[in-house]
Amino acid sequence: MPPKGSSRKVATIGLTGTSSGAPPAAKKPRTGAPWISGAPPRAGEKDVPEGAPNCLRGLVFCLTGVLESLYRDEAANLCKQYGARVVSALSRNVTHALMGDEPGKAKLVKLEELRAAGKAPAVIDEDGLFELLRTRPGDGPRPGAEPPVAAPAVGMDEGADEEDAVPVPRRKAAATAAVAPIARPSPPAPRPPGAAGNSELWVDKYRPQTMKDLVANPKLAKDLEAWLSGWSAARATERLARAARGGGPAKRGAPKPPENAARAALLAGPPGIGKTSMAHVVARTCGYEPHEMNASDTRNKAAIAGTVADIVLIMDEVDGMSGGDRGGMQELIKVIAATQVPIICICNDDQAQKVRTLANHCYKLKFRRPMVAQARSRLMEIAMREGYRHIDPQTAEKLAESCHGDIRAMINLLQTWRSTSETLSFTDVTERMKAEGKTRTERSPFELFKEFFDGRSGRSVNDRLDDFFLDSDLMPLFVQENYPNASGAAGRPHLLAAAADSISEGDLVNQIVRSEQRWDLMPASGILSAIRPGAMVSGYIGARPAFPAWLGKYSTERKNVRLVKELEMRCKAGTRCSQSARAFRLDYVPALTAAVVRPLTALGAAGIATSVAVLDAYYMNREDVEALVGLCIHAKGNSPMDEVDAKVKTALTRAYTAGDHARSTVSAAHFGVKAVGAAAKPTPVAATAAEVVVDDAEEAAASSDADSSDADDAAAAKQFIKGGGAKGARLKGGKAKAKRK
Amino acid sequence: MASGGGGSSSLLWVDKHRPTTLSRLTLHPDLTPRLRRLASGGDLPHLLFYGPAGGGKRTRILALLRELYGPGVERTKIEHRVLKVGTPPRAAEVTTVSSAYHIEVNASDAGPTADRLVTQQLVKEIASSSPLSTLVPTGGSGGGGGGGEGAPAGGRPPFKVIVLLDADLLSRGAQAALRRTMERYTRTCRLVLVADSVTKVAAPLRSRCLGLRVPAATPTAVGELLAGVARREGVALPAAVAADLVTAAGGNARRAVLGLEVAAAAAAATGTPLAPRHVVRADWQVAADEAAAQMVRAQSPDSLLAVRAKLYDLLGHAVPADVVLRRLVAELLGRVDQEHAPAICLWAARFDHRLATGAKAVVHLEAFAARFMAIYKQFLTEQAAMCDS
Repeated sequence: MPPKGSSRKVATIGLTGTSSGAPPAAKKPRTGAPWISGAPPRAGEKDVPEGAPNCLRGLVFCLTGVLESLYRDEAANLCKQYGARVVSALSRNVTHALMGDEPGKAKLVKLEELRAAGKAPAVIDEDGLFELLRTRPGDGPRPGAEPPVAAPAVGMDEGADEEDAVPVPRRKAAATAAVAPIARPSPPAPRPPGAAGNSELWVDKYRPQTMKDLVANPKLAKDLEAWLSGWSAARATERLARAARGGGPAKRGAPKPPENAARAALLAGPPGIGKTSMAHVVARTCGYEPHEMNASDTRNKAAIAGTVADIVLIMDEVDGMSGGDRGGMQELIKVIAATQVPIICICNDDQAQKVRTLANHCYKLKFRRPMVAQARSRLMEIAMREGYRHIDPQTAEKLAESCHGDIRAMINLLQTWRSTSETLSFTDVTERMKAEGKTRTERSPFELFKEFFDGRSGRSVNDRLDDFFLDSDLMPLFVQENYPNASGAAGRPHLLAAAADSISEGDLVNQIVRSEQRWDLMPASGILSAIRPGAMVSGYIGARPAFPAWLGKYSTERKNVRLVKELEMRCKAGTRCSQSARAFRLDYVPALTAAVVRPLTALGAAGIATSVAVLDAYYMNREDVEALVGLCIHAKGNSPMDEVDAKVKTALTRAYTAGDHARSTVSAAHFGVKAVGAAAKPTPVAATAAEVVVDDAEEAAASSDADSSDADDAAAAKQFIKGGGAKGARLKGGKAKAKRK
Repeated sequence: MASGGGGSSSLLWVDKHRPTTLSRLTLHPDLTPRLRRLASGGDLPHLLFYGPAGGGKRTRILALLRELYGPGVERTKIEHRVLKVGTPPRAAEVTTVSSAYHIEVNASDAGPTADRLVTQQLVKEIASSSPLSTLVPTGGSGGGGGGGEGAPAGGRPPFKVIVLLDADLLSRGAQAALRRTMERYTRTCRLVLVADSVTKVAAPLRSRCLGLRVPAATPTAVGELLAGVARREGVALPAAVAADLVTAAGGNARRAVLGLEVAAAAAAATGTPLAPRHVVRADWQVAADEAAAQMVRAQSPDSLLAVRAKLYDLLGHAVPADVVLRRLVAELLGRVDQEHAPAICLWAARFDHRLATGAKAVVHLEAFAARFMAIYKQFLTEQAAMCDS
C-alpha cells in the first residue's frame, strides 16, 4: 500500500515525485479509496505529543485503516519525523502495525500469517503511537531489536545529546548499513563538521566517475555501453551490407538493421537525472574521449559540419537548438548519416517537434527519474562526506521526493543548506522545501490542478494562487474540464451548479483582463475560475484527469465559423439578398444540404444533375458538398452522405469536373480556411447588364408573366460567371449552363 | 420543378420567390407605403432596420434601394478587402457586396477588435467620395446599359448608401467610430444599419437614424406566404403541414419557406403527398433538444458531462451560443412544470448576458445546464419526500 499511499500522501503536502519512480501499479486508484472515506472521525482533535528526537529510530511501521484523529499521511510523516521507516506491506521486518478502523483485508491475512510464523509485529492504534512518542527515549535501538518497552521519559534529552555526539564515521557506517549502499572506490575521508566552505560545486565534485557511481537507470547505462562498444562493429556490418547490394541505398522492404545499430544515440529525460554524466562515463568506459557541445556553443551549420575527430561527440541539449543555430538540426542529421565517430545527443523531451525528426535517426534511450531509494543512498553518502553531522534515511528520502528525482537539484540543495547548518532533520527538509517553493515548479499541470480540489491540504488561497499562476491559461481549463468528476460533486447538484457558476464568472473576469489589459484582475480570475470551484466540489479527482477538450473544440468552432462565413459569402450571389452568417448557418445550411444530398440519396445517379444545378445556383463547388454536410450535426456514422452510394459520389465528382461552373470571387483563403482540393483560381467576370439581359434564354418566358425585374434578377445571379474551359471570352453565362447539361 | 417564374430554377424557393420590389412585398403591408414615401422623397435619412431574423429586413432594404436607384443596384460584385490601418499596421479583413450605388459591409466579420478599424477606415473612405452616378446625367442612356429604363423618374439620388449589416454585433468602439462619420458625410452618403436587436445598437447611433421596425411575421402572414410559394411551385400544401411549419418557424419567414421546401422534397422522395411527418427539425434544433432532454432526464455530474458533449457539438458546428441557449430554454419550458418557468428564465437571462460579455461560450451554457439541474433536482427530491409523507 505505501507505494500508493506514500506517493499520494506526499502529493497532498505539495510534493509529488515518486510517481515516476514507483511501479506502475502504484498509480491505480484504490477501490474505495481512503482518500474519500479516509477522513479520520476526529481529525485534528487530539494533541500530538512531542517525542524525543529520533525516538522511533529503528522501528518499521506499516499503516492500515482509518486512524482516529490523524490522516494517514500525517501519521506516516510523524513516524518518519521521529526516525522510523514506513513501509507499504506487512513483512517480518515490520515492528509495528499501526491499525485503524477498517484495516485492509490483505493486511489482516498477512498479519495472521506472520502470527503463525511467530514474527508478528506489535499491533498498535493511534494512541499506541502517541504512547510510543511520549515514552520512548531518543535514538532507540537499531533495527531488528526488540519492540520497545515503555521507558521513562526522564533523561531522554540527555540520551539524544549523547547519541548526537557519536563521531560521524560511526554514524555513517550505521546509516549506510540501514540502506543499500553504493560503494565508491576509495571514499575520501569525511570532513570535519563546519568545513563546508569549499568553492567547488558538489554536483561537479561528486559527478559520477565510473559506471558504479551512476544512480539511476542502470539498464540504460548497459544499453548505451553495448551500443557504444558495438559501434565500430555495426559500421563494419553496414559497409558489408552496402557492398553486398552494390553500394546503392537500402532497398525497400529489406530487413531493417537492429535499432541499436544507429549511428547516434538520443538520451531523453527530465533535467538533473544524470544523462550527461552517463554519456561521459560510458564514453570513457568504452575507451572514447568525450567531446561535448552544448547550448553554450554555437551550433550552426558551419560549426557542426566542421567537427571531426576520433572521439565521441556529445551533443548536449539538442532541443535547445534554435535561433542562431538555424539549420543546425538538419545539419546534425546529415552529420549523423555520415559520421565516423559515435554521436550521443541529449535532450529533455524526445517528443518535442524539433527533436522528433532527429529521433528517427537515433538509437533512443528514455531516461526515468531515479527511484527515491536510489537517490537516497547517494545523498546520504554525499552528506556524510561533506560533514553534515547527522542525516537519516527518512530525511534523505524526503529530500529526494521533494526534488522530483532531480539529483542535481538535491545535491545543490544539500550544498546550500550546508552553509547554514550542520544538521538536517526531517522537519528541516519539509520546512525548507516549503519556504523555497521548489517543489511545484517541476510538476505538470496534470498533477498540479488536482491541488485545487484538495480540500484538506490546508493550503492557503495565496499558495493556491501561486499554483494558478504557474499556468494561468491552462489551470482554469483543467479545472473546467474535470470539476464534474470531483467526488465532492457527486450527488450535490447545487454544489456542481455553484462551481459551474463560478467558472462562468471567472471567464467574464478573464475576458476583461484580456480585452482591457487589466492584469491586476488576474488573481480574481484565478480565484473564480480555479480555486473557488475547486474548493466547492473538493474531493478525489479520477486517477486519469482529462486534458481540456476546450482547446480542440474551440479550434474546430473557429474553423467552422470561418467556413460558414466563406460559404455564405460565396452563396451571396445566389441568394441575392445577403443574410447574416448566423441565418445562413441556422436556416440555409440544413436546407441546402438537403437540397444537394437528397437527390443523390433518393434518385442515385439520376439525381446528380439536380444536385449540380443547386451547387451552381449557389456558386458552390464539389468540395462544398462535404463542407455543408460537415457543418450539420449528425450522430457519428450517420452522415447523410453515408447513405449516398460510393459510385454515385464518384459520378458526382466526374459530372462536376466535366462541366463549366460559376465561381464566386470569394475564395476559402480569404477566411483562413485551408482550401480543399485544387480549386481553380476564381476570376471575377462582371458581365455587363446588357449582355446578360439579352442572352438569358429564359428571359423571354419570364418576361411574359413578370416585369423586367426578373431579367435583372437573373443578371444579379450571373454576376460572377466564369467560363470553366479555355473560352475566356465567354460572356453568356446562360449558355454555359445549358451546355453543361 | 421549374414551373415557377424565376430565371434560375435551381435556387432554393426562398430565394427564387424573394420579392425584389416594393410592390411585390407581401409581409408587413403597413411598412411598405412608408418605404415608398421615403424612396420618393428624393432624400433619405440614415435608417436603422431592426427586428428578429427572418422578418424581412434585408429584403426590404434591397427593395428600397431598387426603388431609389433602379435595377442597376442588383448588379453587384463581391470583393474581399484587406485593410491595413494604424501603426504598427494591423490587418482587418472584410468582404463587401457593392453596386455602383451602394455597398454592403459586415464590419463585425473583422472581429471584435478590428471592426473599429473597418468602420473608421472603410466606411469613411466610401463615404468621403461622391457617388459616380451624380457625375453622369441621369435618365437617357446613362447608367451604362440595361438599368436605365428602370431608373426612378426623378433621377438618382445624389448619395450612396452604405448598408451596415449586423450593426448590433459591432463592438462599442466600432459603433463610436461611426458617429462622426454619419454626421460628417451626409452630403455624399446615407447609412442603413441592420440589427436584430435594437438594444445592442448604441443610443447615439439610434438617435441619428430613423428607426424602422420590421417585426416577426404574424402566423397568418407566414401561412399566406407559404401558400403562395406552394401554389407557385405546384405543391399541395395541407393546412396541418402549413400550421406545423408556421409554428416551427415562429415568425421567421425564411425558416418557414426553407422548411416547406425540405418537407416537400422529403415527400417527393418517398412519392407520398406532403404530410406533417415530413416536417423535420433542423440538425441544430435536434441536437439542442437532445441536450434539454438530457437535463430533464438526469441531474448528475455524468449527465452534465453528457450535456457538455452536446454543447460542444453544437458550438463546434458553428451554431451561435445564444441560439443554443434560447432553444434550450424553449425546450425546457415545454418539458417541465410551469412553476419552474420564472427561475429558468431568470437564469437564462443571466447567462445570456454572460454569453455576450464572456469569451468561452461553453462555460456559460454549461453553468446554465448545471443550474437547471440543481433547481430541478431539488424539486424532484421535495416531490418525492411529499409523496412519502
